[in-house]
Amino acid sequence: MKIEESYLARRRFLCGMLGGGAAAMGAGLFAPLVEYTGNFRKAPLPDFLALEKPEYELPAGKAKMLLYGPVPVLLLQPAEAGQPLRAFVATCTHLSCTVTYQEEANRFYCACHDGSYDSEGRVLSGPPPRPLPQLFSKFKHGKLILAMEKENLEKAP
Amino acid sequence: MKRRLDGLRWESLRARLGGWLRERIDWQPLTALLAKKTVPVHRYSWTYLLGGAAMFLFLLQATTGCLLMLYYQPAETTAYESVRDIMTQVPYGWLIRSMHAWGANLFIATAGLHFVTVLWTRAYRKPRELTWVSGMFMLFVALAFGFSGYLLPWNELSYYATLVGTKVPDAVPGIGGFFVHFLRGGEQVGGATLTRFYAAHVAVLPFVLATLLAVHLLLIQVQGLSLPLGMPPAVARDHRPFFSEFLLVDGCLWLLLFGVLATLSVLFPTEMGDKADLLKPAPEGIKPEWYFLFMFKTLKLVPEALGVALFALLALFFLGLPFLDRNAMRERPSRAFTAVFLLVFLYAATFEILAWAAPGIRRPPEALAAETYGLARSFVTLLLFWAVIGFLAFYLRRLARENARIRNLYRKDGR
Repeated sequence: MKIEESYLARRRFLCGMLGGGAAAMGAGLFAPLVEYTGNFRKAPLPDFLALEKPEYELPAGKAKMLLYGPVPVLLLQPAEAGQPLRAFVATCTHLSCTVTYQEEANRFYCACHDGSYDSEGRVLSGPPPRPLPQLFSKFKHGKLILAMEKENLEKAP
Repeated sequence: MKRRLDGLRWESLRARLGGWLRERIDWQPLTALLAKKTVPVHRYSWTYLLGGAAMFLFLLQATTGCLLMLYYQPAETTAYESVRDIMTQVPYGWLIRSMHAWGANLFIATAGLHFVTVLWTRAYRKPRELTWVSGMFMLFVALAFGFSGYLLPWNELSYYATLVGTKVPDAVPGIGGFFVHFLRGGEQVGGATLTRFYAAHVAVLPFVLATLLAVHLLLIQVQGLSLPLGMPPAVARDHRPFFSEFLLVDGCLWLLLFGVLATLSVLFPTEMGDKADLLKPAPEGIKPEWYFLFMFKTLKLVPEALGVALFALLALFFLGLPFLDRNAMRERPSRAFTAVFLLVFLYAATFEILAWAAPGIRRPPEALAAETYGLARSFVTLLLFWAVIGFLAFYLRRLARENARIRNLYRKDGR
């Protein structure tokens, strides 16, 4: 009987050692693999965007789509007189579809789930939970500077 | 009669799981079939490890290949840039790609070694002709993998290797032109070539290889492993069961191969090369990967049609070998064939060395600029890595020996 007990104990020890080693190997391989497949590196957004007059000049009530790095942005010249140019991130705050500007209704509209925002980005109706993020803007030497962060406006030459 | 041990937790858990499954699937015929496969132990038993090693390396290629597919873009305009992205931007991308490139070389080398040892022991003789034929086709597919994969980084070497390689069938009269068009996807090597080489490399060839491998493994499972020609059965000291014992020994070798591959990848990461430029002429000293060197050298010295005919003849000879080697079929020594094999290897080896010795492309060595690549850090990591491998290999062998001891104990008892 003692002989068979020792065989069992020996087998358990061996399998335990193998299990431990395999776990160590697995853990060592897991971290780099997760980093590789996840690709968590963040592509940095540009600090600011500088637009020349022909690029930002728009008639009243018209909007224009442009790219801020990889982000779609809608530039809007409000229909009301005396209002400055506004720039919004054109990504719906609901599920990230790209919105459009409807001139007749003077609103931003998301076709995916029928969300709409007014000309200041506030939610009018539909599922969007938050208003459209507005970019900071400033005129400098005749150019329009757009930035996601207020401090970055100063970084433009 | 066994005295019941306290706390047979793991064992009873395993037994309960086994019972649960057995109530649903009657796998007794399957386990009986698996238990049939035994491995004879003799002086040349190490040759039995090579086939499994080649299979492991292929599985590793499939894994690293799938990982590379997450980032690689198979278009003429972005292929090179996507590989550069993998090498420099993607975390550990350089490691995965280098393992894939080195793995390809190791895979073909191991398959070649397996081929040589099977020739030497005449394992292809009756009743294993079909195993041999499926294996030969797998060797051709492995070379096709190497050839198609080589184009994918779309650098200078890729482009010219493919240009030359796809021109070779032109030497065949009549249908040669069709094959050139078929391989290139047109007149020239271009985006269309890249697309179909990628399709072949990731879909068609893996499917074909998997099918051939399944046939190969099934035949071995049913027929068992052969003894070298001329070895009387009594010489085999033992017959180890494949499942559990020999597989553990296999596992040791696979671990070591994995370690070697990772080490090579860390110490000698693959280079990017220069992007393929269709306007630039072929660089001086260009030559293919080592497994094509002897063919490359042959085609440089003899007229193309003759060279192609020679290769076709060699391929057909080796394919039909079991049916030609009548002596081996009758379990008699076939010295004439030994002479032929030696002649073929002498030719291949000579031409390989001649082509390898010729100066290659002169290019300054590339430095790898990737955030996750720190050589100092890698040495420590390698040390730890090899420590774990050594630990695992040690206990795998111990377990295999323990299994053998228990098996022999029962055999002596006659129980």
